[in-house]
Amino acid sequence: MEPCLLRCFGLCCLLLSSLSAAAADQLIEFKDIAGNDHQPFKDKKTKAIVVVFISTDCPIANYYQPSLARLKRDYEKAGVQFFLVHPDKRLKQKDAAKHAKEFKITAPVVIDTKHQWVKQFKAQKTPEAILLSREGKVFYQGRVDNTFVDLGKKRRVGIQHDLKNALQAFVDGKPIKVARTKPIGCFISTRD
Amino acid sequence: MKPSILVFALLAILSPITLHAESKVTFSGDIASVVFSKCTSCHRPGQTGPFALMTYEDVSKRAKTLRSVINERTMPPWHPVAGHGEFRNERRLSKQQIEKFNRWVDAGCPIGDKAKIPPLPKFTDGWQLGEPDLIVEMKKGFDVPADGPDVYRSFVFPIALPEDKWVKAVELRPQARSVVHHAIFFLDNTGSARKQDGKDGKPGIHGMGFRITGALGGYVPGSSVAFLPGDLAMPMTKGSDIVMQTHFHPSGKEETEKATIGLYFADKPPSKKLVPIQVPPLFSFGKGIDIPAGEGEYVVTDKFTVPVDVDAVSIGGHAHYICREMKMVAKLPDGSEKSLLYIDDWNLDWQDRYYFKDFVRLPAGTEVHTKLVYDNSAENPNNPYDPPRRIRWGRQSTDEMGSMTLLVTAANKAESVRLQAATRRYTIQGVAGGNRLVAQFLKNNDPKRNFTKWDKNKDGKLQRSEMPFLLRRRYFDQFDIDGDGALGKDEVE
Repeated sequence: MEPCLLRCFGLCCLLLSSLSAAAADQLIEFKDIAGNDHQPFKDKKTKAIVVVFISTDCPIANYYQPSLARLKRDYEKAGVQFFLVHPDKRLKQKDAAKHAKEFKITAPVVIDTKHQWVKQFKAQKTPEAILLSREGKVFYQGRVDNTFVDLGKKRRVGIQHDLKNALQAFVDGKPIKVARTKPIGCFISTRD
Repeated sequence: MKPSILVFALLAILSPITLHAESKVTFSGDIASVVFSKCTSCHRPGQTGPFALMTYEDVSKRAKTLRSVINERTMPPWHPVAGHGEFRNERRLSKQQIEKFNRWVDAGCPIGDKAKIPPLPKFTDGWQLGEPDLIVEMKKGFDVPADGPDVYRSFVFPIALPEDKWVKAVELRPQARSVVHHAIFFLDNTGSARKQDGKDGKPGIHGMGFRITGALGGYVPGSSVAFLPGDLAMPMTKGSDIVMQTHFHPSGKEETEKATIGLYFADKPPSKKLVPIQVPPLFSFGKGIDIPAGEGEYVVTDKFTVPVDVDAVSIGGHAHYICREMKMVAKLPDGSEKSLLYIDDWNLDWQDRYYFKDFVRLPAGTEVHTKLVYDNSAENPNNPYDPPRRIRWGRQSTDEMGSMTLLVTAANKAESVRLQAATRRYTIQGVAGGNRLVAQFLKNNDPKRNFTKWDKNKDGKLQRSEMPFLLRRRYFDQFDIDGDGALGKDEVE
């Protein structure tokens, strides 16, 4: 399940400057829509990152923005950095910025114009969350929680907080019980 | 010789066209016209749909998501099952249309001849039916939280209508369209809703604690507002306020809703009165609904016999969360059957009223049967309890109720009185049935006789939690005289 790039990724953390593969660079060092450079694992305190594929107009992806903001607030202290990635190749920087402001997003937002992030994680939908350790291991990939049974079908009770549970287990150094779930949301378009 | 040349020539001309049309589905040739007519009215800027579907780019970009919701029949939103009633403004896609869409996506969403993409239909901005006769706006905006459970709230429009009126149509213009899921317009001419308004510090009323003296239909996303057919109209009596029950879906950001309603009045009273036939009456008050936890198929049935020839104008249903199916069938005196409405995936959030394409004539003696099926299992994602609990009849949304209502007129105007008398008798039977059930329940659960049994902690008092669930509100609101949160023996007496 670990693609080559991910294995490289761990290595990259050690050999940051010498790495030249363009796709891997995208994850090692990248720019957000505000123009800030990020090298999340350069900081020794970063234990893991959470990457969430989002969208400006998928109602399910948008519904989760407040949950994601709370998770970021709660797990940042534990060394988990959050990055929100737009897989919409044609999305304009100013529209992503407008969306971030509207939904009070504080995590860095990235536009995946070349679908390097999408390919890296084989992401299918928005929202889809990935918990990645600094060794490049995917600890969790899937939905944020199971509120949505299907598009347009919401559960009323019995919510399982899959991403939160994975984060908590990771922080506690315990095994993650549910490491893969099926994301429910809008398909990521691979069209140019 | 000549004919064969002709045939050959014809074949040469026709075959590439027919072959082409069958094998290649394109946006310009097949998809655009369907999307524009079935999706774009909501999926355009300023409307309820979350994104626009107005161009090839809009549609091709979301092709996989659209295919998924189309095949699941989540979109376009239309809940009646095909073949049970024919309705105005049907938003269903045909099997062929769905199959074509699938083929188009499989083929990589070809655009076809760009020049042949049909133009977008002309959409009206603003009031869809022209300037209303009366426009009312919510006094204060209501703040909808960014996330969390759905919010149900009723808002009072204190109109105090100066004279009796007849309503042809109601149009709702929500301000925060992305969060307003559906709304139902009730009438209250007693002023009871006004008194409740804002009591908990927020605009509107929590729940349904007001007198309902009439109703003016509702709004769900995708429904198009239209005048009632012919000279039909809904009565709105003098002194009426509108109470709009609104269901909000949090959208991920805080929004403020301040809706405007437009009312369209008829010039004169209708020549025929619309008579509701509610089966079972009073949302099954008299049916003793009591659904064990885990029960996956709990059935409630009832019937009403129409005493005179009637014309059915529209049909709708109401139930709460765990209802799964509802069906109304007319059994005609000649032995034939007409299915009037069948919903096999009932969802409270999409309750709607369906207008028949043509009035459905039901001759005198026709039995109108309703069947409601409830699913109180853990597999039902709409179940409000986890794990499932016993659910009984009640007014809270976590209780259950249910009925279907057929709106009819007497075919012969003079017979309307007989029709109304029959529906009234039917309703009274329902009340009596309900009252008998309540009386029986109270008798079986008399706190005096059960005092020792219920007083589990033996403190000589009944705490709220020691009372049967259904009795708590009744006894604690009325009899906890000293207000200590427990009932002493004297208070029970």
